[in-house]
Amino acid sequence: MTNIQFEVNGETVQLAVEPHWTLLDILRNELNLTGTKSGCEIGDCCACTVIFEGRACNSCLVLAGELDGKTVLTIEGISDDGKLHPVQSAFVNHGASQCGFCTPGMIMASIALLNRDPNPSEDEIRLRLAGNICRCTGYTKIVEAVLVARNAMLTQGRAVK
Amino acid sequence: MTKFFEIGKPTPRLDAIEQVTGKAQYLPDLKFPNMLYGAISRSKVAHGRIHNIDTHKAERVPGVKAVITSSDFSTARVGFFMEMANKECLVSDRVRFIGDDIAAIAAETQESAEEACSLIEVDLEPLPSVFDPEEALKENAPLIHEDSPGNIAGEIHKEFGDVAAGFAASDQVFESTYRTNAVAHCCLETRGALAIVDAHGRLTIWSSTQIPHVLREILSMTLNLPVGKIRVRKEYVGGGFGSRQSSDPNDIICALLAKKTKRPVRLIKSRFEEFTTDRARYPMIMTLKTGMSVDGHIRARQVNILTDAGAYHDQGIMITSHALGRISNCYRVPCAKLDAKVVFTNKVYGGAFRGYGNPQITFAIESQMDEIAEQLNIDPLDLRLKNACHEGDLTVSGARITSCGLTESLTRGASAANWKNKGLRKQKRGIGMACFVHSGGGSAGAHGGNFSSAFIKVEYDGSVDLMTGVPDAGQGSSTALALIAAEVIGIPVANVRVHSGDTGIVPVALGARGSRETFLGGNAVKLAAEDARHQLYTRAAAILDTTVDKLASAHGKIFIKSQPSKFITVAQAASKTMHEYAAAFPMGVPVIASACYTDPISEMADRTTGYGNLCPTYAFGTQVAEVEVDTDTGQVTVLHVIAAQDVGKAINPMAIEGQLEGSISQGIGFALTEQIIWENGVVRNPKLSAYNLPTPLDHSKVTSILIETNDPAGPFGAKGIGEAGLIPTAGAIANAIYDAVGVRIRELPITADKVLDALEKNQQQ
Amino acid sequence: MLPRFQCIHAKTIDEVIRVISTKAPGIEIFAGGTDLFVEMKQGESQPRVLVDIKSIPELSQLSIDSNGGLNLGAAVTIAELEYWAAKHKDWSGLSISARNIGSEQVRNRATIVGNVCRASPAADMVPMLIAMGAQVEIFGSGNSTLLPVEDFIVGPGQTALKSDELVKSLRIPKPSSITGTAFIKYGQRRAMDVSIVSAAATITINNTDEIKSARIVLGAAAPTPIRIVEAETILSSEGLTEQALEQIAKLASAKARPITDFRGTKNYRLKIIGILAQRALKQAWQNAKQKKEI
Repeated sequence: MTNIQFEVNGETVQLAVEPHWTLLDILRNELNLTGTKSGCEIGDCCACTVIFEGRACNSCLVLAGELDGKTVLTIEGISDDGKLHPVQSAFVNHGASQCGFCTPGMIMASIALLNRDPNPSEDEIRLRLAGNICRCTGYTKIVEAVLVARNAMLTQGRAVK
Repeated sequence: MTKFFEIGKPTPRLDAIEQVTGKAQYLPDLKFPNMLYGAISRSKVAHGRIHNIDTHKAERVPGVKAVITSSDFSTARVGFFMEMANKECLVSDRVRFIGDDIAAIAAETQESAEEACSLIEVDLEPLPSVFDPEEALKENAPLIHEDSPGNIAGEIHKEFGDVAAGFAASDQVFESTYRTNAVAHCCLETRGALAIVDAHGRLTIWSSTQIPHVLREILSMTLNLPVGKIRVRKEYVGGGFGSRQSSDPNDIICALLAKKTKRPVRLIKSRFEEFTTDRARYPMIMTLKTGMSVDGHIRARQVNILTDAGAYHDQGIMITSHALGRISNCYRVPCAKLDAKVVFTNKVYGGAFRGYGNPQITFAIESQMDEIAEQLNIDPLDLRLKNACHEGDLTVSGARITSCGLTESLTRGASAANWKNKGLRKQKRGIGMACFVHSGGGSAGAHGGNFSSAFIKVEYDGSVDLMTGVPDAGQGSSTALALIAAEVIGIPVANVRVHSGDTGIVPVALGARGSRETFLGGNAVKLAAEDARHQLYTRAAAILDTTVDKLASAHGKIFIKSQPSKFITVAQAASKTMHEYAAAFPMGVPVIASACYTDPISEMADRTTGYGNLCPTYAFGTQVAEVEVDTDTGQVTVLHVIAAQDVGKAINPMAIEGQLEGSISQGIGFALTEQIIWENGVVRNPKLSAYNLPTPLDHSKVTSILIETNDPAGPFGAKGIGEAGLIPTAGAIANAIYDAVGVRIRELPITADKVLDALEKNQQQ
Repeated sequence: MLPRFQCIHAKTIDEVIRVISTKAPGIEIFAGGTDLFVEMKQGESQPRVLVDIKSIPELSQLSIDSNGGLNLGAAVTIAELEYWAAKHKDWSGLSISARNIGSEQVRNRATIVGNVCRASPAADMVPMLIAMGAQVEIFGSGNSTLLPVEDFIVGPGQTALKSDELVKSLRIPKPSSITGTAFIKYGQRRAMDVSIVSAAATITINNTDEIKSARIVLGAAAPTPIRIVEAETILSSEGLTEQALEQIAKLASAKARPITDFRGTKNYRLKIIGILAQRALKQAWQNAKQKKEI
């Protein structure tokens, strides 16, 4: 076991970890942050998407040992004191979730996109979410919701989180 | 025209906030103290006789608490129809597909469970195997089940009317063969179960199930426990699409491990296991024969189907037999016949998948309609309009069409697609249409009685708790039912809390299958809500000094219809504070109601002929697809799908659109890219990156047109449409491809290489 | 779950060399791990020791050298390259190749050098890198050598790298002005697929639209990428005529040695590889003309 220290959702975490654990294992099993879902374990579905060092990535493919000194943002960390992030609100109001299993990963990927590019086109949104598989919605309302969130955030002049 | 206050408006899911915040708990999120992790050791051989299973090495892995095989319990079987179920949860003497369940382990960690799995030693004598249903029917084919000679799982021969006479009276007869392949559900959450047996021997099991009450019954039978000692609970479920509407070895094995270890056990399939051992859509070879009069009327129809059942029974016979209704009930067909064989092969067995056999047969029917239209020189739209069923029809199979939006769906769909100007499209672009009929509201025949039930209690603050037997597997049934309750009682839908999926609390319903939830569940909720409303109105009438019939309610107020300014709130009527009216109703007595809605309409099919009105309502629709074909590569792009859908009544338009968009996406996958690829019984593409389901970049525009035909029996006129969207999509796409480039592909998926081959053949001719 | 292993998060290149110089079996160098970890989880690979190179600053640099050539350190991610190259028109062809790989999530972790070193016949960065004349910088025993990518990849999943060597960087020479590029990937879906076949093309023109040089490279069409050398002569002597394109399409089909697998049959791949080569060349031509206008 190795000791690591890293930041999750703004809080410092100290943990003893095994080298073969992934960030997904740690989030779900050690930290009880079960909002991040496991859909395939091999990077094919992006349900486990988190924002790691500011970039969307599949937590199932990040090793425990790489986390030391780094920052992680998960679905549990994006609402501001109970107030929903604009992407979350848009997903709620536009029917962008059905079974909801892909939703946390989809939201994290969307937020990572909007943080990097505040004004993406619809094509750009589809490209950056292309790995996030959804079997329920056909993606139509998901893309609508991201467009609505984009517009809301541009209007608010929302700072990068 | 009735005005509605709650239903009919686009309403976000009541549980969307839990979903978007990561608070929604799915089965893999549940943890219990002392919990063990399960794993299943599976056959690596497609067909073999087991001589011995050696579990010693597995048992010695540190952390392993139990290793079970079939010898640990009297043989438990799974299947949709228990009387013919032939899949043992853990096989005793024979394995029949790669992945067949041999032994199960429960251990302290997932790692040690999987390690123990790899150490199970099976002394297995391989037997010859057969993977193709046509091969399996041949005389010297390996026999998969001793009691199924010829590998025939079932045969169906049914006829309505006299098709021989019908064909004889036809001016032209059309016959062609269509094929579809196995398709995986690809639910984002893989199948799982979590079982706990308490000190009384009572079992609580969480399952990613669509059928909590039915699962309870199945567990009762297989585990020999009375239903009262079993509680099935369902948290959020990451998709179903029919994969979770039947029993599965996973649930039973999990319960057995929990019983043996006396500890909670969680057993979740990996994505690889999901692809290789979970039931898929039945592949079918369908030869469809239709007799036509020269002016375009259908005179007779006959279909011969060969269904690949895979290794064991599930619902192959039932699903195949439904084809007879489908060829009879969309268009006016005077006589119809079905001959079918359902055949075992050494592959994972098939199961229910959204549409229940209708996507396959409708692909055949609708492709052929266009082929017929061309030969008879009739526009495909006119051919369909000419033959369409109407409200009031009694079809040759006995279906009573009490509401029908087919004609309207055809005209509105065609108009939205600019059908008249289809010839003016760009080169290599084409449009095509397809219609369908689908049963709604469940049916008496399939599941015994056809009913649903609900409890309602009105809280002192005027909010409502709704306990419904209907489980929400993601399709939004809970919100739809809440809307119905809210509309009837007269409160905002946000004030309704829905409880479902726990057999210990909610009353019985038959589960999320057969598009029954809105219809049956909705009617049960409506009845219970009407009872609750009556109790509230009785109190309100006393307080407002009027009679019940003069009252109405909306937005949380109960008011006199002719003097809306005279009102009390629902909260006041429900509360215990109006003590000055204690004489009218005692303080604090709660408003509670219960109801069971039994579908009075559907009939059991006649045992011999299969005739009958098998379900209470029928949903119709038309889809028009626009495609573009790259004639150099054969690749097909779907640009736009217009779905004109008869919904009866749109209780929640947002949810219905979402269902249509999602199921059309599945339909496009079924049509163009999805198939499980086997080679000698091994699945070659058991990964989401190899299976080819649509990604966000594979989208096409979807336009939904919701048609309200106000079904006389549905709650507020609603029908069930959960399965509807994907049924006609493949037919519409196949027809659009023909319109674009003149090639007719009769096998799904219509992959680029098939299109390219067909284009080349066309050029050579 | 991943199988167990020892993980070394190296801080210097020397540290890496020390470990791999032992030539002990079961050592794997990784950066993104997006292929390696999948193999390990599927039981296809069980290394004892993993060496992480992401904390070595020298290997994380993306820079332009004094000749205007692009240097990509071994730990530079595909996403970093994609975004950077999209803003630098000389290098935009790399951006298009990059965005065809996996998903945004995978691209944020996977590296260009990793894509080259895994040497999958369908590796999506490789055709464009060869078309642009890229070289790998191999480091071992204190020495650096440069090897063209097409010589570095020697077989399916095989490179010329020895077990005690490490790829430090990729060097891509500055494209002559005016060079247009194109990359076309063909898959059943528009995202997430392993290529069924692919083609990368570069065309350099002068001010009067004459082709000075060109390259066309096929991916997923053989065990290793195919650079159609004859096409280069045809294009610089005849230009992008219909005849030339016909010839090149035939050459492509003749040279391709595709397999039949569950993604596609050999016959189908042979049929469309010529089409893809033609389309890539036409796009590269259009791209060159556009750059000329700017």
